[in-house]
Amino acid sequence: MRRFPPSDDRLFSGDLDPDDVPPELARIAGLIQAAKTADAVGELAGEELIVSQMAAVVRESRRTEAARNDRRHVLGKVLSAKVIGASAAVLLSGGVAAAATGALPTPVQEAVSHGLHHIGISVPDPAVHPASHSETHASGVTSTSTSIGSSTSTSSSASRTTQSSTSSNRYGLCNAYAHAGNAKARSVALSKLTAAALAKGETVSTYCAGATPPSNSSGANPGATHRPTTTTSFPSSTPGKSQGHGTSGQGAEHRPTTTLPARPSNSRRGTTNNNAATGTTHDTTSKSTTGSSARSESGHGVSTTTTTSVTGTTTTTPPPPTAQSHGSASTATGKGAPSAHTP
Amino acid sequence: MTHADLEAALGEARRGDEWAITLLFRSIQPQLLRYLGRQAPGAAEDLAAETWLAVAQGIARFEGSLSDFRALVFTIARRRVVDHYRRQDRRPVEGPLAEGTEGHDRDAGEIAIAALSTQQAIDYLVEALPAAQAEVVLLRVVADLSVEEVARVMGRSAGAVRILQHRALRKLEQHFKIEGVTN
Repeated sequence: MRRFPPSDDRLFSGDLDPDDVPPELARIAGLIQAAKTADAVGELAGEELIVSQMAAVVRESRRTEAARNDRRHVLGKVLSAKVIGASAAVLLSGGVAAAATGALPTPVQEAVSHGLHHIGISVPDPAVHPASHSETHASGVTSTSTSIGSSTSTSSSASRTTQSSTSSNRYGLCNAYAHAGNAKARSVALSKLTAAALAKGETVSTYCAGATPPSNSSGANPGATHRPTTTTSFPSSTPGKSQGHGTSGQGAEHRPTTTLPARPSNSRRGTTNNNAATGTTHDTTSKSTTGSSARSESGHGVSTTTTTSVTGTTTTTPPPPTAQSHGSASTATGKGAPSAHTP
Repeated sequence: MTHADLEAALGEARRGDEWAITLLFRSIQPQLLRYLGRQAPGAAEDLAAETWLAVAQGIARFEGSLSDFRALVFTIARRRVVDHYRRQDRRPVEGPLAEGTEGHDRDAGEIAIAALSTQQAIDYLVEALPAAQAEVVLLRVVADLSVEEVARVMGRSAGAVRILQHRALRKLEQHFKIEGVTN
């Protein structure tokens, strides 16, 4: 009787006797079965010693892994807070408040100014005060550009941003917030406004109370063509308070942090520095929303996230407590253990 | 011992339970010794011990089934063989064994398979095969691994393993036919 050849897998399984397969495969089937037969003698020699050694190694590796996981868990919290903070800061870089401070590129600023003018929002118009705007723009652009990701320079750009904030800046921020047309614009404007107020150690109400339309002749108030808005819509604002114009390059009172280099030649810089000290605290608070300010405050100089937040694009989210206690944790790099060990 | 018992033992072995480790050892050690006995004659026991200690170093982090674990053990064993020959500056065994194959007469007309020891049967099975085919046969027959597991151990695709397996069987068929004719 002709026997059909079995499949390779079946043959290798050892389930087939030599009589179950074609003659040409009989010897192979027999050898396979023999090769699978256990030799009772000696195959488990040394079992006790090997097993006890293995158990000791397993227990030790578990202890080591547990300790490593504990360290990684703590670092993971810090790093995730940092990432969240940086992301929030970048996302919140909005255009409305940038326009309000004259920080946009000239053509854009002009277009935005005209557009917002039609809906009653006053922002600096470079066509009216090009010089002022250019100064503002220069600093604003610097701060804006650096807000989008450079690390150490952002601190200085932040200070330049704050320095360029003037009374018109204050007015612009308050006005932008008061007249933001939709929820998103309002949210962006509020975040900018809050950051600016905190940088001066003031509440939003107090900050806007001192906001006046940019009608003075100091040239530091671009956008004079825009309709000055009343202060009635500001939170407890009081119009008429004259502000120094402190446009570009001046007004070093804003947003300094401990990581910002001191700007030269301005007494306000002293103020700035002082405010920096104060601002640091506030910045910490604001920046801590991004998870970075705490580190700055701690002096560990984790600048990446700090800088992104310093430009006033931070959220109002309160800082995670752990961020403050792990200033330099950014250097940690926890790594996971492989799931399968194949030495 | 059932498959389910061994799966449970694997879980406990990851926690360092000695009895669970013993069960795994007993289920795999004989095959491991036979595999190593062919691949590194005279060093099988030492290499087996090295293999188990290496397994112990990673078993706490191991995540997988019993099948995955068996593949892992033989993957480690295979690397131990390579290291063994590298240390000795020698090539792995291929073809008829020069040592450890006492008492077997390759010129016999009929091989009395029933009289062969397990190790001798293994030697007869793979001595005529090229290295890659021999290893597939060893891992399939001796280690009792599936095609997919062998693929993982050898770092090849399952399709490649099947091809090697088929070629090995055809070569064995031809080899024993010739031997039968010669004898």
